[in-house]
Amino acid sequence: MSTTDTRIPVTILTGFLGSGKTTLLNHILTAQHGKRIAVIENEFGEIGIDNDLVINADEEVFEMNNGCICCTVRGDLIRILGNLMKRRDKFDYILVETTGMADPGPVAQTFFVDDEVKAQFRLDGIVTLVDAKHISQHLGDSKECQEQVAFADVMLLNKTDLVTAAELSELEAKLRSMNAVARYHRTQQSSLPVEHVVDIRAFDLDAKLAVDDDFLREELPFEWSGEYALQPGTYELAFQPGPDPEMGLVALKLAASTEAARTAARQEALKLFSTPGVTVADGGQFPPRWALHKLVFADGGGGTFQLHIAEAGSYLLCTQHRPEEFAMVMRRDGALVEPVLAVEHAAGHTHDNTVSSVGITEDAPLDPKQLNAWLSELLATKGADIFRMKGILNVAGTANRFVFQGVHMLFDGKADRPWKDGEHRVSRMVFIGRNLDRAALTTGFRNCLAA
Amino acid sequence: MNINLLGTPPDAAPDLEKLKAIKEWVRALFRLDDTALVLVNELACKDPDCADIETSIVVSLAPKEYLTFSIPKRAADVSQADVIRELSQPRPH
Repeated sequence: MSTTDTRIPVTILTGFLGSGKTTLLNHILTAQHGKRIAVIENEFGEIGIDNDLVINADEEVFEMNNGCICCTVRGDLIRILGNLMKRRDKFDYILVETTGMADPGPVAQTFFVDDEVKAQFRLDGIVTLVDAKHISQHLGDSKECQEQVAFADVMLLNKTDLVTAAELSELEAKLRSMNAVARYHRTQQSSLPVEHVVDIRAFDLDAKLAVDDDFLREELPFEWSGEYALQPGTYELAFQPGPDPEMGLVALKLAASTEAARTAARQEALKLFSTPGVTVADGGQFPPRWALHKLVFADGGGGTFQLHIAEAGSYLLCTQHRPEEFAMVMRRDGALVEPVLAVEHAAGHTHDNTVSSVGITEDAPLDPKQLNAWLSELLATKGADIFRMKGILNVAGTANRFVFQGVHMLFDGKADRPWKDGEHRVSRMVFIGRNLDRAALTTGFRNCLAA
Repeated sequence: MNINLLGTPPDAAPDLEKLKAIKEWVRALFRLDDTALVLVNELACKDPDCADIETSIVVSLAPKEYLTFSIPKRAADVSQADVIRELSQPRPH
């Protein structure tokens, strides 16, 4: 259980023009869900519908610089929130709609710039509606559209009846490559339970992580892993020309041919993929070991590498790209060797989007001074590009978990409940933003580990 | 900017009534009506030029126009006299 938080949950609803926001709001305002929601929207005057309050907003956005921190906030929203508190007994939740062309940043930042607002309202989550049929047209050329995807805690793929199953899967994969940590729901006519929109506790990473390891699976920096049963000797790894002049590869011996052992090995590979790696030129040989191998292909692409096995057993190979992109095959004495098990992973990196997510997990406790210094430098230099960050931290010398979330240069953190006896003390942190450098972020975070 | 993410213990979070009082002092001093915005934020910054903890006050009289003030102490320790002193100082143009 997290510590009790009595602040009013606020949901921000974003979505490009025509994505179905108005339809969703109409559902929420008319459905018998028993929740009392104050809705702050763009088009209507102040009216009351059943138990709900609907308040008009005029989207007064302004940039503020108080010396240490720059941010862009919504002035009208602060006034509205102040007025709403005079009618605190009329509602339990707040939903803020943004215009279709709006960057969600200013609305989100508004909840961090005033301590009275912070004390009374909790940014519960950002819900982004996506028109499954038309969003692809905007993703490439609209900064606002990319930001709406990047900011989302919950992504509603709407109008799914207008696309094929294959198109929908492709779209979801594309969106996940930009924002790997949002919860995804598929909807038609914006219809879904109100519980997916208000009081969603999107910042409760515990809830996300407790379900399964999707968070980490989505964040793996390699696109494929395969288990091979290998005997002592030399195996040939052959590649045809592909989309990159090199391929990152980790080969590790498994403790056993079990899912637990494969998961443990993938966690090790995740760490290794953030290291500079060992370069192996075309024709080179390497053994399975705790290292990232950068296989450098010959001019014109493609190449052959020798994997030297000293001991019989199960081995996991993790490759940066999917093997079929390079027609990768393994051979022993000319005979094909197939993996006994292969898994494709939704990669946390992407080739064609500048917006992406980076997740970092680390067991060792963090040095608070180092962490402050690193985050200070990071936000001062990259704050404009870091749309969101969230984390649960294992800080050295403290009995409690530390939880925090941030929007650009602003953040809100607090000591959370104590770590339980026997609980795995692990720091988890995620960044979503533009032009994120996974290796630099991971290395920077790892440099904050207590000695 | 030099943040202090882990520096504020939870029991030191600013008191809501005190924050409201500071805002009222600002409004009274500048004779502001409800259309003006007053933001109060306790900031922890480790820059050499900054106090370890400062109470930042932002006053916006019209859309996109604002003034910022800083009192180098926790909100809990800010008095009305501090507010009057800081907000009455001549400001460079």
